[in-house]
Amino acid sequence: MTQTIESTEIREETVLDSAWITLVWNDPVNLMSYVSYVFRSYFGFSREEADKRMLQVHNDGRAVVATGAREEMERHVEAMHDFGLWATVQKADA
Amino acid sequence: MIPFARDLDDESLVASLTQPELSLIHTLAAQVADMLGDLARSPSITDPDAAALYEAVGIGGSAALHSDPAIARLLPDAYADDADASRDFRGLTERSLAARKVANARVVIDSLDVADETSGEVRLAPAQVQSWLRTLADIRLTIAVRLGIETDDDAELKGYELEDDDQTADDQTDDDKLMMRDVYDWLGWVTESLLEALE
Repeated sequence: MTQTIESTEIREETVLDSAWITLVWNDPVNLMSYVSYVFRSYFGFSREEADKRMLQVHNDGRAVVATGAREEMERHVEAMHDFGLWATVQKADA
Repeated sequence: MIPFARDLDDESLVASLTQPELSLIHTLAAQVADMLGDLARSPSITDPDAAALYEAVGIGGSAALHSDPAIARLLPDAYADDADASRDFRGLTERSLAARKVANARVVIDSLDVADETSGEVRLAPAQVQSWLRTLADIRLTIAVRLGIETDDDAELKGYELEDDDQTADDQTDDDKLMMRDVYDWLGWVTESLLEALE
């Protein structure tokens, strides 16, 4: 009984550990058309999806653009910094 | 400037810039490359093998956000609320990120040098377009920091309307700001031109 509960807890922790997000933050410099282009060309979003997230960045100050393992999110953040977009990594539940 | 358009023969994007326009972007791209040059170079390691390794892997970045706000904006923290994780990430990635930005600026400078010999025709292959987009963004981010454009409301203002921290500012400073603001807006137009031609 006890062993089963423990193993379940471990699995849940593993799932939580992999849940990281990439956030892109609003800035007054990068053009809306450029941000949408970056989302399309880098993340492969459709124009509709890219525009939706771009407007979320513009209106709400930030938007989640990716979810997954921490290392993958760090790669995305580095790519966004290449483009001059301001992006950060954080835990999904933070 | 005649805006960028796609050359249907070879998929390159072509624009025509005047001499002052060419030299303006040339100067600004060189300033970005100079600003990031030290951060992009490998640390002073005497062992050439170790230096080559640092160069290849790109490790050895700064411990914290740079004190120059323009550099800090181009090489920002990767974690908003975790200073330790930001430092670790910076140590692993800052040098290579800075080196890629310098390399992009050099691609822009090289294409401007070619344009200088062909009556101002700027002809960009797809990879060069990517360097141009990134370098134009880096230049505009740098100018924005210098002009104090920090909010969406600031972005709507003209150069002389921006808050001026320098109490000794005189008319000459206002003129400079106004001119830089025009340059900033024009560079945004160049980016738009590239994006429209890519469609």
